[in-house]
Amino acid sequence: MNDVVSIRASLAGDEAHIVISGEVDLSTADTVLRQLEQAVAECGSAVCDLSKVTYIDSRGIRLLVHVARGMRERGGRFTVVAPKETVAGGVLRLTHVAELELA
Amino acid sequence: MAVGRRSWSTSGLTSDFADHAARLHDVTAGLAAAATTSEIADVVITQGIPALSARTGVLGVLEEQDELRFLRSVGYGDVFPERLSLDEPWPITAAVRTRTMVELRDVVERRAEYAVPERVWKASGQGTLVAVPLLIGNRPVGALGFTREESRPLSADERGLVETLANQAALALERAVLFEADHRAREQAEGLQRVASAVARAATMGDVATAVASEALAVLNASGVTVVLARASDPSVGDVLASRGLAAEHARSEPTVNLAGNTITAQSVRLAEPVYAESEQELESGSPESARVADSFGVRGIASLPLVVGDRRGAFSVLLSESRRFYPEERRFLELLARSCEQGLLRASLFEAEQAARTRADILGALAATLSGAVAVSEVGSAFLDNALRLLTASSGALLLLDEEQDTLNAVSVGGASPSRDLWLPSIPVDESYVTGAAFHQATSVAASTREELEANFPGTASGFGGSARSAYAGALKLGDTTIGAFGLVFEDERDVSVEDQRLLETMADLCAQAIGRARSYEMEHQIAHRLQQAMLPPGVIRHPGVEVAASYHAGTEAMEVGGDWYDTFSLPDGRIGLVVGDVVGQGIEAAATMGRLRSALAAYALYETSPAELMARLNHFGQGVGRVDFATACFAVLDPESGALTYTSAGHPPPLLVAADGTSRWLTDGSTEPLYGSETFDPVQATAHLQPGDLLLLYSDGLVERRGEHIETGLARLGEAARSLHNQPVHEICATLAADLRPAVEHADDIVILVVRRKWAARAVFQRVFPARPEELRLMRLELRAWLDDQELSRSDREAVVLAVGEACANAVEHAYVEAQAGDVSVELSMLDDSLVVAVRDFGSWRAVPHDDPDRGRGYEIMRALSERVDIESGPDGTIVTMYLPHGVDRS
Repeated sequence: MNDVVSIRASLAGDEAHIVISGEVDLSTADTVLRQLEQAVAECGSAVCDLSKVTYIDSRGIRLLVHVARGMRERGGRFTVVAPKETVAGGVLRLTHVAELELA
Repeated sequence: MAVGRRSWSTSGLTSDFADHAARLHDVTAGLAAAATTSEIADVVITQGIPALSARTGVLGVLEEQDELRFLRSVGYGDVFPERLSLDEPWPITAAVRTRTMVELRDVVERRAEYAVPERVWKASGQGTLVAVPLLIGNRPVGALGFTREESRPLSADERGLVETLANQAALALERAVLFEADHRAREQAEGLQRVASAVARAATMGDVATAVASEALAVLNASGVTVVLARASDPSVGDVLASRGLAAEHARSEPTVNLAGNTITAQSVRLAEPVYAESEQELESGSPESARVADSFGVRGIASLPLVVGDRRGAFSVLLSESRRFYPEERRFLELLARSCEQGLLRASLFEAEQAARTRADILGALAATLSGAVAVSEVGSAFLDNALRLLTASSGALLLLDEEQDTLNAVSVGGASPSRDLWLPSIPVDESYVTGAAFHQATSVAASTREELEANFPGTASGFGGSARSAYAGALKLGDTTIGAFGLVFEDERDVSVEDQRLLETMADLCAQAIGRARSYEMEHQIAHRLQQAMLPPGVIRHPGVEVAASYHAGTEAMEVGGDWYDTFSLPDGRIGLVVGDVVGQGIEAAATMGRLRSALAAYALYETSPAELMARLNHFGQGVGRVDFATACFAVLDPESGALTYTSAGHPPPLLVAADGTSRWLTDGSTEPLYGSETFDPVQATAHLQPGDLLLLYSDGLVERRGEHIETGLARLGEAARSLHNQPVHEICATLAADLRPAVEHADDIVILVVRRKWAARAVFQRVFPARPEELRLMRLELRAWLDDQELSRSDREAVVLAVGEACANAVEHAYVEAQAGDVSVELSMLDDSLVVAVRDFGSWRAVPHDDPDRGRGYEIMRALSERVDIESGPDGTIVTMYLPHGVDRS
């Protein structure tokens, strides 16, 4: 984990709870994707909290879509928490990404 | 006739003498009233039969060929012949031969002495037969015969009556024959007269033949007439020049006649003598071929007279639907008609040849004139085709040239009004199954004059055109010893191209090949000039934070004109900007080269001399000397982007246009001065103007406003209106739209340059940063940007929007601009204006190809567009610049 972005994940039963904080951009996208896939690998559903994300661009959105699609294909569910007033909430609403389920 | 019959029917038969006298009276009166030979025969037979209690009666006239032609036969049904040779052993022919009356008591005696077909005997009854010659003096002119049912020798009275009938009939016939001959002669003379005058009026061979055929039909009471003339190119084929009556019907299905055959017509052509077949028997023995055709048309006699027209032979044939002998005077008439026809045809053929020669000369002249002005290969092709199609009235044609790989012939031009025009292939292999391919391969002309030949020799062409081509002709295009292409023509009819036309086409093809050679070198020069021009123009326009600049050059249309128009933009040492458009008069390599010299000189002088008027004076001096400029116009303007001050001079060039941010416009005419043409007294003026933020300055060359036949003011007004309506658009779009909308829609349009400059709104604050294109640099850039944004009066959501938009643009540049090992820089520049923030993200690399449907890239642009009022992306060889206009104070939630 570096000082730009951090991912914390906890497991409650079959559901993973993940919190991403910091900046998701071209330089961190690969790390975030790897850790996120690890966190959701063993569970049936996951909730990903983006409230503490301070920067996320189209590359970040892309990796979230990638993870959500992977879970859905194996029958799981991936939900994103990103309130409207947060940075990530603004970006998600701007891009109208239908594939990401907002909590 | 009617009088005679009535008087006969009222006379009684009570006294032999009275009866005899009455009959003679009736006969005399009847014969006197009878005008024609057949009326005479009628009177004699109808009087004779009751007087002699006869069952049958016949009357024939003796014709030249020792034949009796029977004008009348009563009581025989249709078994009695129309004609009978005197050689036949019949009682009636014996009477003529011996010039004495033949009387036979009954059928037994008749059979014993004469050989007459049984059906004739049967029809004649069992009894007495009398046959009498009709004599004038001792010369027989015909014969008369009766038969009775009963066997009873003629009484003296009856004998006397028969003799009297015979005498009177002979006289009457002689008179009528002479009269009829005279009448025919008069008709024929009149016919010949009419023919002579019709032939004199006839302009073409067809007209002559038609006039002759019509007269022959009328005068001879024929059922058909045809006039045939052998082709000069192939004497065995005769073209039907005219046909009338039954012959017209035949000619429709057979427009040519085989003169090598054995028809009556072919015989007369070959023998150069008249051939007469005047009965079915004669037809059958003379030409079974003609007999068969004649039979199918109900023709029973043919007379064919040879024609000689110059070195061509032909025939003039008359068809009869009855079998009869032509009278000697009719034969003479036919001969005379044939001579008239020959003379008329000869005159018309000379006239036609002269006309054709004149037409050919016209066509050659027209082609040469057009080709001398043709500069494109396609122009040459269509000029050639237009004239070739006109010459031969072909349905369509194409001109093909060998491609560079030497294995394909490409159609450079296709012409013709017929739908077959669309059936020419755009390219064909060099293949002899095509008529053009064969002409090319054999380096000579080839032809198929019939559909059959076309299918046999050029199956590619035959199947390609289907039934729309019945014959074809193609020739090679040769330049020196090299065959460079071929032309092809197809016809909807079957035809031979005449030797004269072939010769002309050959000459035309030579002219065409030479013109193509010229056009090719001209096109090459055009390409060189075009490349030179492109090389002379600056690779891009100046980038300056205070202005938006766009410029474009639009070459003259596909025709050859490369002009000497140019533009240039550059920084001056004092921070101002130099803006130039110019136009060197002339075309091609020379103009492009001159333009290059002027452009370089102006940019160089501008480093030391920034007064437009002074600079223009130097340029004029340069043009007089080393620059070698005959005549050029130029507009040079110097703009201070900070203050908006503009100084300009326009040397013979149309005035710059200033469009204010509020959409009003004005022409900057005060700086107008003399063009650059080496004037010794050149003393240019300059003028000043002021550009407010948002104002637009438009420099251009005259191609944008000048149209042939139109006053320049009209063009300027059009430009002003278009510029006003576009003034809010991005500058490069203004360039493109003006060029597209205002360029005149004609060939040979002049080339155009357009230079558009907009002064930007003054920035209250500017953020500038240049960083290496590496992913980890992005975060640092954002940190600095956030710090700068914190100092601006912006809402939090506006700040986040700016960070995201800039972040996306920079990430794109980092990711795509450079090949990994050669990462360059990315430059970010933000200008804070009153109501918006202008972001410019620039890289200096060349973007790697990215799939268009990459959803990631798409989403990045979507974000940038969602956040901005406008996004402009300009990619060039030296990098890409993304400009975003972000409004602030907008609630984006």
